[in-house]
Amino acid sequence: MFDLEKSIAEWRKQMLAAGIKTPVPLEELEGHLRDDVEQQVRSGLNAQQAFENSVRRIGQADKLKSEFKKTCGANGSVWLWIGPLPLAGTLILNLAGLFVFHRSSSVFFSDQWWSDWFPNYVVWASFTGIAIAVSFANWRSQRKATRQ
Amino acid sequence: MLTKELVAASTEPLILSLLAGGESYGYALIQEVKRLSGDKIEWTDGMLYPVLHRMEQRGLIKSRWGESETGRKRKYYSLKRDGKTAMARHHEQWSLVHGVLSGLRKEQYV
Repeated sequence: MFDLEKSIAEWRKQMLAAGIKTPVPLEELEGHLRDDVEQQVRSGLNAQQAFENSVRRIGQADKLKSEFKKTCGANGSVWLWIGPLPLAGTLILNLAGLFVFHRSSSVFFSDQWWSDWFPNYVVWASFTGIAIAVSFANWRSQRKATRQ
Repeated sequence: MLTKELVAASTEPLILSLLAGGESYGYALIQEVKRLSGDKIEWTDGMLYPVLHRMEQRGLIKSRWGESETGRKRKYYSLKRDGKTAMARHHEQWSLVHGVLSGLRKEQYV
């Protein structure tokens, strides 16, 4: 005997396993699935056939995941953190050297600091600058796309 | 049937225009576009939601959780101000293409 609730629970599991983890899309997709099943049952199909049709129409989880990923990715890529994170790390290590290990080379603007620490700051600050510029450009193009 | 490319290009203007008539939800939008196009435009069910989410992220539409007639949770979408502007722009552009195509067809038959 076909159990619709059990089948929907199973479908949810498959979606979760494929990586559609954020509850919002999954809740929404489940609502859609139920609407579609109800509609088909009203037109005379049995629940099992209706469920199978709906699942097929919604599509495979991996394809959906990549589509949803585009939505999440639009706000910022992981690589944009290449600058800010090491920059923060450098500062933390510098401060640890100064206050925890009392290293003379960690004293800001000392001769040793310029040669040991300053190059790190320059490199990571450059990456951070690029990341900020790229984020700003993304934001502007999104605004522009919205207004077009 | 429309080509894949044309379906993709027309999804946003169609969603915006459908929502201009009042708030709606994914399943109803799919049914409505199917009905209006005489079954010629069929959106892949699951693919509509990522599009809706992207449009929401871009500030064209907004959403709220409400209840269906049977008391189930349902996400409703509605148009925002930027969405109305975008819709007007789409209408203008699609009318332009339509106008040029019609003009060219007339020329061919003259």
